[in-house]
Amino acid sequence: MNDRVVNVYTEVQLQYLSYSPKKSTIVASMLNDENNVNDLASNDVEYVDELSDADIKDPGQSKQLTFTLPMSGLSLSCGFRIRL
Amino acid sequence: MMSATVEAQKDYIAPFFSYGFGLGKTDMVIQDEKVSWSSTESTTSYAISNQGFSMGWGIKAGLLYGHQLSEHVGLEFAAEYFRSAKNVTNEQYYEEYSPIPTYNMCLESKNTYFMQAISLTPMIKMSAGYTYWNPYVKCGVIMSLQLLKKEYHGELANRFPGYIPYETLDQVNRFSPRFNVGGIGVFGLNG
Repeated sequence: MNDRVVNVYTEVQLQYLSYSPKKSTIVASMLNDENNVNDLASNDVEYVDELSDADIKDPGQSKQLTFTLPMSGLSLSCGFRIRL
Repeated sequence: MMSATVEAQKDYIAPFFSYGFGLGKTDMVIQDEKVSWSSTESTTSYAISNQGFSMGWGIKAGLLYGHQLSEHVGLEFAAEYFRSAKNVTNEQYYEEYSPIPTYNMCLESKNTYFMQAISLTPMIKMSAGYTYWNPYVKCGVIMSLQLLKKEYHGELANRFPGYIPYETLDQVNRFSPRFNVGGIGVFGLNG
């Protein structure tokens, strides 16, 4: 037998995981209107807008941050194992 | 013959690749309203579509280290990178005023969500111990650091006096990275 053994496998994985964001940061923003269609550079705006925890608790500002994104899934996996 | 050798091995590594089919849907608040006021004769409608997506769709790749404690029981540790598929929601918002349409407006927007994550997953493995086509099950805990990005594209059209009739806004949002813990169950077959 070989010292270095390789064999293949296949798997079905069931995963439960989720993600609930607390804070949102705008890292790039560009406003463009018809009046300045040839002057886009002057309308480029880049800024960072971080919401504090207090902002997030304010329903008026945090609606977009109240969701939970499910990351659960069924995965098909294949690979090979190498003996060490 | 190859399987028999593998069952006897104590330590092994396994690079892996998998594709995830998302389960469950986001619980993002969905508004679908249509409001009319007879006094002002205005109508507001709002609709969001394709909201029910899961970030579980995507590809995973990583490396697994395993140690066989006995013929039937082993421990495994997986480190993986996850990259989700892009999930899109579309929103439409309309305000209509009658009989004077001066303040009619229309906002249509598209949000594209995209996630990346790195995870460590310790698992316990129990196998049947067969020589050929050895089935096994694993269960473990996923410790995942996740980063979500959203790309927003909005188009606003209106007839407001003295106002820009049409404009677009593009934004990129990064949401705060989060550390979350989940669970995993696996059924597999050794070739």
